[in-house]
Order: sequence, then C-alpha cells, then structure tokens
Amino acid sequence: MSTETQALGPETEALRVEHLHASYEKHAVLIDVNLTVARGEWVALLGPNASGKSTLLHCVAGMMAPKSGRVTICGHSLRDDPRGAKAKFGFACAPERLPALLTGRQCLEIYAAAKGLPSIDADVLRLAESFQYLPMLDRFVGAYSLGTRQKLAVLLALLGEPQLIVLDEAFNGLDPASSLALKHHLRARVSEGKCSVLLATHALDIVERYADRAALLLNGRIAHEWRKEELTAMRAQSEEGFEAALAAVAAEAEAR
Amino acid sequence: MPRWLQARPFLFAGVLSWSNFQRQHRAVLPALAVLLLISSGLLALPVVGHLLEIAAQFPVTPFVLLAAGCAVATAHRKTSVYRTLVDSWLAPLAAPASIFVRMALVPVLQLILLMLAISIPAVVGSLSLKAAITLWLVVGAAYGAGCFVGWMVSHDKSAGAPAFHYVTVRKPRACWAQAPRLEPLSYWAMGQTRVSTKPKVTAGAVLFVLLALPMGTGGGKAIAIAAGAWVVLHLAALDVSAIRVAFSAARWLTPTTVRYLPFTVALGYRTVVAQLWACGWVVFLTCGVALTGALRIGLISTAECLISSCGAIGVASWLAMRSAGMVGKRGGMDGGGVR
Repeated sequence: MSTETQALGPETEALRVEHLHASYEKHAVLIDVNLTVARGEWVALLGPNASGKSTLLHCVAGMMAPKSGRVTICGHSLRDDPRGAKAKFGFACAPERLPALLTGRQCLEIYAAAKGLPSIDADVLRLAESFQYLPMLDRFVGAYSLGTRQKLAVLLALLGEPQLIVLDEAFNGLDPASSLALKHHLRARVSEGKCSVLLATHALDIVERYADRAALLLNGRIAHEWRKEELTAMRAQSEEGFEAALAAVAAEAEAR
Repeated sequence: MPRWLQARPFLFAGVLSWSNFQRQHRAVLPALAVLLLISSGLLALPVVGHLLEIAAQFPVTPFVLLAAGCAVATAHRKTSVYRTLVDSWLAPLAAPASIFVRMALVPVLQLILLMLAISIPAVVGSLSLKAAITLWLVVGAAYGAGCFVGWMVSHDKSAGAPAFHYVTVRKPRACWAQAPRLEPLSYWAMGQTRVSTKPKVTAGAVLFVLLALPMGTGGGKAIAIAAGAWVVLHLAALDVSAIRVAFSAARWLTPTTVRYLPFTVALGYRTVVAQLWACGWVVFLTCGVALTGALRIGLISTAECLISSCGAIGVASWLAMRSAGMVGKRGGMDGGGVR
C-alpha cells in the first residue's frame, strides 16, 4: 500500500493538487491535501460523509477558492490561467443546480456553444441513447426526476472530450442500466487514453472494478491511497477485501 | 441566435429561459404592455406633473432616495452575480461570465423607464421643461452614484463557499432528543435576520439616511434619527425573515402533519420577542432623556408593531401552509393541517 502521491511530469499528469487548504469561514475542511491524477487514469475519491470530498472537487473545478495551495489541470494553473485549466476539464454539477426553465436540448446546446464545439459529440449522443434520455430532450429540466437530471449533468460534463472528468457522486439516482452504461463509457474513454476521471463515490464496486487508484479522504486529509494492483489483490483475496481494508484504515486513522 | 450570444453562456441561458418562460406564460407580454399603457395614462394626469414639479424643487431628496435604492440593489446584484461564478451550472465552463452586461441590464432598463416616466408629463405639458431636465439629471446622477457606491460596498467575490453561514445555537435544549419541539424553527428566522442585517448592510442604509438629513441638523438629532432608522431596519428585517422562512419551512415540512397554530407560534414567537425587546429599549431610552410624550407614543408604536408582526406572520404562515397543501382550502385556521 502506498500513501505517497506518484511523481509525474506535466505531460503525464491530468491533475495535480498541491498542499491544498480550504475552509468554510473558520471551519477547516481540507488540510494539506496532495493528489495527482495521471493521464488515462481513473482515480476514485473515497471517504465518509463530510470528509471534504465535494469541497476538494469544487476546488478542482474552480467553484471554490482554496485558502492556500495549488491546483494544476493538464499543466494549466487554475489560479493563474483559469480559462486554460477549465477548458481541459468537464465537471458534472449537482443535479439541483440545472436550470429548471430550460430543456435538456437547450442545456446541451448552451454547453456545446460555450465550449466552441461545432456539434454535439457523437459518443455523448450515443451515451444519451443508452441512458434512454433522448425522449426527455425537449422537456423542461424542472420536470425531470433526480435520475434524469443526473444523466443530463453527466452528459454536460462529457461534452467536448475533456481531458479530465470530475464527477461528484455521479451514479446517485441512475438506474442500473444507465449506471452500467456510464461505467463502461468512462472506462472505454480512460482505456483509450482520451481522458482521466476523478470520481468521488461511496460505491465500492466501482472502485474495485473500474478505478485504477483510490484515495481515502478522512477529516480533510488524504489518509491512504491504494494502487490498481493492491485493489486487484484485495478483490482476489475475498469478497469483502477492499471493504475490510477501508474499515481498517478508517479505524486506524480515528485511533490516531 | 447570434454567434456572440452563443459564446456567452450566461446570457444565452438567460435569453432562452426568458423565451421559454414566455412560451409557458403567454399572457405575460400582453399583460406587461397593458400595464405600460395604464402607467402612461396615469403619468399623464396633472397631479403627477405637480408632484414631479415639487420633486424638482427639492432635488436632494429624490437623489438620495434613488441613489440609496440603487446602491442597495447593485450591492445585492453584485453578490448574486458573483455567486453564480461558483455555484451556477455554468460555473465550470471556460467561457465569459458577462458580468458587466448582467450587472448593467437591470439598472439601464430602470433608467430608461424612469426617463420615460418623466418625459410623459413633460410632453403633455403638466411638467415644465426646466423641471423635467432637472429630474432627468437627478435620476441619471443618482443611478450613476448609486451603482458606483453599491459596486464598491459589495466585496462578495467568488472566494469561499457559496451561501454558506455557520450558525451556532449557544444553548441547545438538554432534552432535544427525548422531547423534540418545533422551537428550532424560530432560530431559522432569527438566523436569517442576522444574515440580512449584517453591519455591512445596515451601515450603508443608515449612511444614506444621514445623507438625506437637511443641512444644519444637530448632531444629537442626527444620531437619534440614525438609531431610529437602524431600529426600524431591524424590526422590518425580523418580519421579512419570518415571512420568508414561513414559506421555506412549509415546503420542507409538507410531508408532516404539523398544524397551523403550533407552526405559526414556533416560527414567530422569537421574532416577536426580539421586536418587543428592541422596542422596549427604545421606549426606555427615550423616556430616559425625558422626551415629552415618549412613553405614550412608544407604547402605542410598540403595540402597533407587535400586532402588525403577529398579523403578518400569521397570514404568511397560512399562505405558506396552503401553498404547500398543508391547510385544506376550506379547513381554515383551526387546521385541517393533517393531510
């Protein structure tokens, strides 16, 4: 098991988070967080509720200004070159943030136009089809269920072939078929080296089967990281291998 | 849609939302047109011209009032526009945020409407040209000054968490788990008041009140007026917060069987007590400086304030519960609260 962040060059890393501190007023949420996501890598971010996962993702997406530290996306510093950095990633916003007064088609159109795309990506449309989302395209977002909103948020994040996809609990509310379609879609993109994925999740099956690396965030700090081989070995060991390892690390960190 | 608009997602989304809204509510545009026609007709009445003539004779008062309103509105608009940079669905995009256009759109529209409102009496002859020019200048200058002050006063940049306020209850009830009550609802309204009456906001409003005082007003009198304005703001903020929270709380508690009276009492009692406390201090202090008739006027005003607050909170709670489907249409106050 490794607790150290891999040392990568700017050409090989999609995301580098260095010494990140973030707080809500006086309440510190992230304390000296360091994390690297290599190009073509799927990293799962784990941790109990209120451990700081969403805050970390919001800092990475430029939606929250950290107290100190540095976030670099594909070589572009989020602080010094926010537009260059934002052009490289796709972020699935919280479903409730989507505009109720627009239709799904209009939302996709706005995102595509803002990203300067000549057309909506074919693979995004294919994913929308496998989500069975196409019949919902011309309905108002305000009339969507949670799952349908989630589908739209994910489709927006995938538009324009971003090099880094940041997803916060993106599988919440998705039906099993759509969830499987999204997992396969993301895995295919990552395997082809088209993008990297940073996913905050509580679903351990995704971590075990699809992620290349997992990081555990506890009380605002990265408490542990597991490499792909370690994840595979734990799965081979027993059905609950990773679950047990996660519980052990969490208990150890609590005891400290 | 023009290409430049498509490249500006915040504007593009706004235009599409407005167009969808119109499609959903087809009566809005005709209703607006009718409203404009009626307003134009009213503005052509001689009495309006007469009132505007008086306003032109004392330009400082309309200037200060307009500038104050514009400054407060600009500060709020700046806060909300900057907030969208961190919490909007468009925030992660590497596209222009169109801050200037979004900030300028509303005041420019208001300015045009106000200029037109002054022009109509001038055109029909109920307002002299000199007075109209004075008012045009006053309105223009007030908007310029108000926007500038409002922009400078507001510092809510995109840093930090959006709309995030930690509220600490100093003394939680020991038996909150064994005997839960609706009481925390009252803290919600109080917390909302604390957020909306931050010193930064009230200081700006009181400053404008002081600016509106005529030259030569004594220092003591000015302090008393400023303090009075602060008290009025505090009392009004308490009412507004309780009314807003009534609707939020009713939406949240829709799946429960809470009844009208416990809901209203829980929601409003701390607000009323806070108002009583503030009014009590005002009456005590004014009696302390031996102002003639202070006790009588103070007690009457306090009673009026409390009665109107109770009425407003009661009506707001009923409307909120009704809109959330918690009070039957014929159920009345005694509560057909159970769904």
